[in-house]
Parts: sequence; C-alpha cells; structure tokens
Amino acid sequence: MFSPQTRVLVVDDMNMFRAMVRQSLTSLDFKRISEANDGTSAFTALNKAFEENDPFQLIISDWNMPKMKGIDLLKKVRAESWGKKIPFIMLTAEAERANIIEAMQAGVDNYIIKPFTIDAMKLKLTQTYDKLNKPQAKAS
Amino acid sequence: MAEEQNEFLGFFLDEALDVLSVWEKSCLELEKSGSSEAKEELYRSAHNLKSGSGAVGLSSMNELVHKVEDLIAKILAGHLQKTPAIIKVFLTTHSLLLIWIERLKAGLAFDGDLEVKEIYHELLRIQSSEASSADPTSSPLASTDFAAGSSPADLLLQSIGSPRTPADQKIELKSEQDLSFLHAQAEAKVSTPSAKSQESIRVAASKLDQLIQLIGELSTQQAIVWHGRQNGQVQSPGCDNAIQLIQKIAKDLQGLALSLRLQPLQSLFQRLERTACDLARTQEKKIEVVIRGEHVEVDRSVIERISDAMNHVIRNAVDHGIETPSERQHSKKRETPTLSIEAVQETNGVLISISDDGRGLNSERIQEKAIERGIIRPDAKLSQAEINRLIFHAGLSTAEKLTDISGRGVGMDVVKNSVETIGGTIQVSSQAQVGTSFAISLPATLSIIDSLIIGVEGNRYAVPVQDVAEIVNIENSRIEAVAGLGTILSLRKQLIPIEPLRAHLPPKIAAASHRSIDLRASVAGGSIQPALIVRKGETTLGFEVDVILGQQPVTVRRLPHTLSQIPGYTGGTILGDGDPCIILNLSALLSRHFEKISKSPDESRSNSQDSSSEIAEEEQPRSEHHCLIFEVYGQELAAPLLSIKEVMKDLPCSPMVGAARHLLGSIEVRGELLPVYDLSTLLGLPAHPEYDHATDLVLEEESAAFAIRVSKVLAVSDLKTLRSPIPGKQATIIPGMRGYLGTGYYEGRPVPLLDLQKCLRLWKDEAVLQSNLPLEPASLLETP
Repeated sequence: MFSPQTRVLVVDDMNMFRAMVRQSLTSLDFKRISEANDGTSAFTALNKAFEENDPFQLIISDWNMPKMKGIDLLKKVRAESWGKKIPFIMLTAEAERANIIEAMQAGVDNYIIKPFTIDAMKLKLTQTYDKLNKPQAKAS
Repeated sequence: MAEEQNEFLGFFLDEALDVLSVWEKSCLELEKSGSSEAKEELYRSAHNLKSGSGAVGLSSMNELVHKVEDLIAKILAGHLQKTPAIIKVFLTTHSLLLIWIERLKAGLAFDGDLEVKEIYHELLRIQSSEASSADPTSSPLASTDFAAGSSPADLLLQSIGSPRTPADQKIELKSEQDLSFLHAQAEAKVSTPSAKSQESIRVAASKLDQLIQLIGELSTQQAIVWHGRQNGQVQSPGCDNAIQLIQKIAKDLQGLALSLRLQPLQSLFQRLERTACDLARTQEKKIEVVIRGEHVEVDRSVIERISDAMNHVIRNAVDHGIETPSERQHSKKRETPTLSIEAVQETNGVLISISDDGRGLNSERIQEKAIERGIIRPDAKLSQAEINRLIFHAGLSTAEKLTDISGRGVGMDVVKNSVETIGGTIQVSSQAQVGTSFAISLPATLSIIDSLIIGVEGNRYAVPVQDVAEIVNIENSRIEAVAGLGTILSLRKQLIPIEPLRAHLPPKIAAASHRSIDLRASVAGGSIQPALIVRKGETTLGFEVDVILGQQPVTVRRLPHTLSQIPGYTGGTILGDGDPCIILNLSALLSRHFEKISKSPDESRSNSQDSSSEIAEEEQPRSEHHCLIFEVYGQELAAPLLSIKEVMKDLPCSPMVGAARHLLGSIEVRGELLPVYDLSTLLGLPAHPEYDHATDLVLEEESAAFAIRVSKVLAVSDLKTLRSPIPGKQATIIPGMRGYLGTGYYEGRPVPLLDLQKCLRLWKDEAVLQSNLPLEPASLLETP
C-alpha cells in the first residue's frame, strides 16, 4: 500500500468532494494531504513541490473544474519530466464515463466515479498501487 | 454509508449556496450576452450541484438538476439556442434550489414537490418545442424519449399530456410562494437556532497567515513577560514594553479575527438585482439595475439578517416606485428606469443606498391614509421629511390596489424593524416624479456591542444600549401603585407599566451566585431605583433593575444550546474582572411578556361583540370619557357610563348556597333575579363581604343582566384619561389589571378606568380554568 508518508494532492473545485476524498485518505492513514481547487493551482503546487524536492506521489483530481480541467492537468503533468510517473486518479461523474478513454490515452492510472464510498476509494487505491507496484516501490 | 453522507451534507449545503450564486450570475450573463464562458460556468455549477447532491444522497435534487444540466449541455454544445423560456426555467430552478437548500440548512424537509413538477413540466415543454422546431416529424418520439426518464413526475406528465398553463402565470405564482417559503424558513430559523448544520466560511489564506503571525508575536511577548516574572523583573522596562505590545497585539488580533467574518456584499446585491429584474419582467416594466460598491465587506451575520428587508425595499421600488413604460413616456422621462444599489464604507459600518428614478412617494396619499387610520391628526402640519417617515409606520400601505408583490400587509415598518434590530438605521428621501431613495446604514459587525451592565439580585447582566430607550429613576418619578393594577409609571404624560426584571430571569441563577455584588448604589440625597424603558413598535415597558453599573463595549460570545434556550438570553461575555456575564435581549422579554398576556383566556372571546369595549376602544384616542366614578373599600374606580344600565341602592341581597366567593347572591330588580358580584374580589383585592350601604351597578352582557356591588358611587364626571400604557386592544388584557382601559384623573387623583363586563368575563374564564370553583348556579349569564 502507499505509505502514510505518501504526499497526495487532491484537486476538486467542490470543497465537499475534497473533504470526502480527504476523509477517505485519512481513514486509510494518509498523513500528507494537500488540496487545490482547480487545475492551474494544482499544477503550480505540483511544480513547487518538485522544486522544493518534496514531490507529490499521488494525484487525485476531478474532471470538470474552472480554469484548467482535470484532463488538461493530466496532460500538462505528463508532459513534465517529473510528472511522467506520478500516479494520477481521475474523479469523474457518471455522465462523463466516456471521457475515461481520453484520460487513459493521456496516461491516467485509474478513475473513480462520483459519488463514491470510502470502500470504493480504498479499492481503487489498492488497484492503482498494485498496478504501479514496482515503479512506486522505486520512488519510495 | 448513510452516516458518511450526513457528515458531508453540511459541506454540500454551504457550498451549494456559492454554486447557486455562480449559477445565477452566469444565468443573468447568459441572458445578456450569451457568452460561452457564461454557458460553461452555468454548466459547471449545475454539474457540481448534481454530483454533490448525488454524493450526499439527495436523490430527488440530483434528479432535477440532472435534467436541467442536460438542457444546459445542449446549449453548451450548440444544439440549442437560448430563449427567454429557457433562461426563465434556469432561474426558476435556481430559486427553487435556493429555497430547497435553505430549508435543508435549517433542518427542515423540502416541501416544494409542486414546484419541482412545474419545472419538469417546463423542461418537457422546451424539449418538445425544440424537437418540433428541429424536426417536426419526430416530435412525438422525442418527447416520449424525454418523458421516459425514470422520474415519477415525468411519468405523471406523460399521462396528463402536454402542459396547458402559460409559463408567465407560473412565474407569478412562484414569486408569491417564494416568499411564503422564506417566511416559513425564517420562522423555522428562529425556533431552532442551533440545531442546524455547522456553517463554514471561506477565508483568504493571507488573512490566516497574518493571524498566525500575530499569534506568534503574542507568544514571543508572553515569553518575555514570563521570563521577567521568573527572574523577579516584572517591573523592568523590557517587561513593560512587552505588556504594552501584548495589548496592541490583542487589539490587532481582535480586528483581524472580526474581519474573518466579513463578506463582500456582492452576493446580496446580485440577489437583489435578480429580484428587481424578475419582478420588472412579470410586471412588464423595463429596468436597468446599477450596482456600485459590491466589494464592500460586511459581517456575514449582518448580511443574513438584512437580506429579507433589502429584498422588500427592492420589491417596493419596482412595484410602487417605477412607472409603467407608457406612464414614463407620458411624463417625458427616459424610457428605461434606473434602480441603483450602492454601498459605501463608513467609519462604523456600511451605508447602503437604494434609489430609483420613479414617481416618488405620493405625499398626499400617504397623509390621507395616515389621517384615515388615525396615525396623524387631520390638522397636523407635517414637513416633507415627516410625511416620508410615515411610510415606516405600522399598517400604512399606500398602494392603490394590493398587488401580489408587495401589498401583503407587511410593510416598510417590518423593514425598519429588522434594520433597527441589528443596530442600523433607515431613512427615506423622495421627490415627486424624480424618484425615491432609501439610505440604510448598517453596523459592520454584530460581535461587539455597546452595553449597559446592570445588576439584578446580585448578578450582573449586559443589555445592549440600543435596546434601551431611556433610563429613569423611578424612586423620584411618580409611580402610581394602584392596588391590584400593577405598578404604573407616569412619564411625560405617558403611562408605562413597570415590571421587575428579576421576575423575568430564572431564579436559580440568582441562587447559584457565589459572589454577590453590593448592588444597592446609594448616592448623596437618597437611593436610586433605576428602570430601563424599552420600546418595541407600539408597546412600551419599563424593566426595574437593582442598579446600573456602567456602560462598556462587550464581545458577544455564543451560548451553549442549553443556555440559549432560556428566554431573553442572547449571548454571553466576559467582563473586565474575568467574570462571565449574560447578555439579555430586553425587547424579546418585552414581546414575551405581552405574548403571555395576549394568550390569556380572554383572547378567545375578544371578538365577541360587546358594546362597552367597543366604546372604550373607539374612545381610546380621545382624551375624555364620560364616566361613573365609584368606590370599593377606599379604592376609587371608574367605568364608562354607557356600560352601566342602572344604579340601584340598598337592595337586599339574598345569599346563594354554594356560590363562589365572588358571587354575593342575587337581587330582585323588577321581578327579575340578577346575580350580584363583589367587585373587590373580582379585581383580586382582599374580599370584603359586608357592605353597609351597598350600591349595585346593573350591567348587561349579551342581553343578560347582572349586578356588581360597590361601596358607593361618587360622581358622574368627564374624566380626562391618559392613553393607556399599551395602546389598542392590548389595553384590556394586562394581567392584574382586569379590564383596565386607562387611567383618568378625578379631582387630581389617578383613577383606573375599568371595563366591568370584561372583569367578570376574565373571572369566569379563570373559574372555568380552575374548575374546582363552583360556577354560579342560576347561570343567568350563560352566553347562548
């Protein structure tokens, strides 16, 4: 599993969803959770964290946000040298299920359909971890 | 899962309000410009509401928003063009969701199923008209497709066929319902003050940084003082310096902390603009709303408490102030009227002005109405400003005809009250044909209030200065303690009932006090007995307190639920010496006092027609009563002469067996047996069953006659009566003042004027309540 020290960035324009994700993560023992409310500020935070030598090791982002959408954030992150391998989980509503394909092409690691339960979040995290086991082990 | 959802409900509800404000803004923007940003913003707000409501299990809201979102998506994708009908349905949905969310916030269930159906209806209509314009042949298919959605409302619609009601009518209906919702909600808020979800506010990160920095400085200085104390050097200049700094930091902290609650007026102004536009649209008036100063910040709670009142001012301006297009054309004014809403920061608060360039207040009409309602005298000469101020008088509505929008009986007096409750003021200026302008000044915060510190039975309480009209020393003022009629203070020709404040405070608190303060303040020349005069609307009451200790600003702290339930307790504070102190709301105590009175058994019968009370009420504003003055064991009393049919002297009274003590017996008057009552016991005075030379006053109620026995009749005289302490109907229902109508002066002495029929009725009701008292046997007085 991800360690409690894994640095997570939660990106959503709805405070409530950030709180839901944060609570799920806290219940899974994550200790270092940061939040951003749109793609642009998320990207700034990611960049800054990298420059400060304390990069994020997991991104959970909403799809539909003002300024920069989740998909654009994903593309931008993957275009950076530091962002190629950060596990990226997309939060999306039922109606945007079709978007998943675009996201997968852009290199998303997993997705969660809103609304979700803590159990679903746990499952998705485990899945993601299993999938990325080796690179993640290298990173930590 | 259910618990998990509830945990986030509070989050969602707070956030939903923000999202709804974006919804509204983008909707208005879409209506104006149709820009793609507006479309996207609108889509995103609907999307967020949909997913959010789904996530917290609000499935019916989720379903509704989903349908609306589909429609927005079509517009976003360019498959559909915006039409007035579409904008309207977006705005209607917005209002509905707003009410829905507010109700949930207040912990109430949503009961707007009808409105939800209306929206489904409207969506269906749009859907089918779109389908028919796009491809006429496939229209039935398209609408079935839509109606095949899972919603029961859809199915219902499908079964009843296409809607028939025109959209306009629905909107009008809605605005009415809107308000009734809001009222219900406001009431609910009052009754369950703390049982709602935790509110949260957004704060700029920079402010938090500042806060943390200040706290850091505070602990540094505190460490210096601590160090100094350890070394016995508290008197050193270094420590002095630190203590001074701590004072300054504390002050800065206070200011900063208060500023956390500040919120720009933008969202309120936006709602007001919306109200104005909606209303103008339904009334087929044009309007241009100009907003200035929306970035001025005001305490969140001020905004919350003022928004209904502001809404009312706006509605009034559009409904009454602004003319119809033809009327404007006729008076050669610019075609589109302007309504401006403006906020300016002032030293102690914010000044909000709402001005229109409409027809202005109709001074003549206002004066006529005021005379008609007896508010002013027909020969009164009023200045223009005084006439304008009349619109704030309760019950004065100048609308030529009642409209759905603002002629609902609640008028500007309600607005004035709610502004004044939070310590603000409202003024109006107007010029015929040029326009009307309201200036509303509001305090920037409700957290710090200027208070009087008073002492009652060894406890200290804080009373907001704004609640107290004046302070009088009742020791020196003339108090007429009329037996059985309570204490009345005659202040500048007005009679004010005086209530000891201690009677309104929980007795246990007094008993629990461990440190009692010497509250008897004595000044050279005698002791002082202060009373706080409190006015609310038309009612006035004096609260007698033990001592007034001083005046100081206090920081309001919220009370725990258990304490805030106690009537009159609004908050707590810590006094300079570290003692806690309760903040009292005297006007709430006043209303409670009169509410209690009006709930007395008499109320249910007050509509029964009885000639004497009618006379009394009619004669209330006049200064003279034609009265019979009589005496009951040394107590002089008066009654309107018209209520008394006959005065009989020295008739033998035959006692009745088993009668209540108020009933002395019966007398025979022209072959008819009349029950005789003892007035002194009816009034709650000590009973004096033996009358030497008794006189009986014969009265009639609902054509049944009865007699009241008094000691002797003194005179028939025109009494110059002062207005009763509580004007209007309440005059007759002051406890301990049975049937009290007012006080007159007979040969320079105060004489209470009584409604004797009412005295008897009150007593009978009481007897029924207590029920163990036997009722008079012959029941001659039984009402049919």
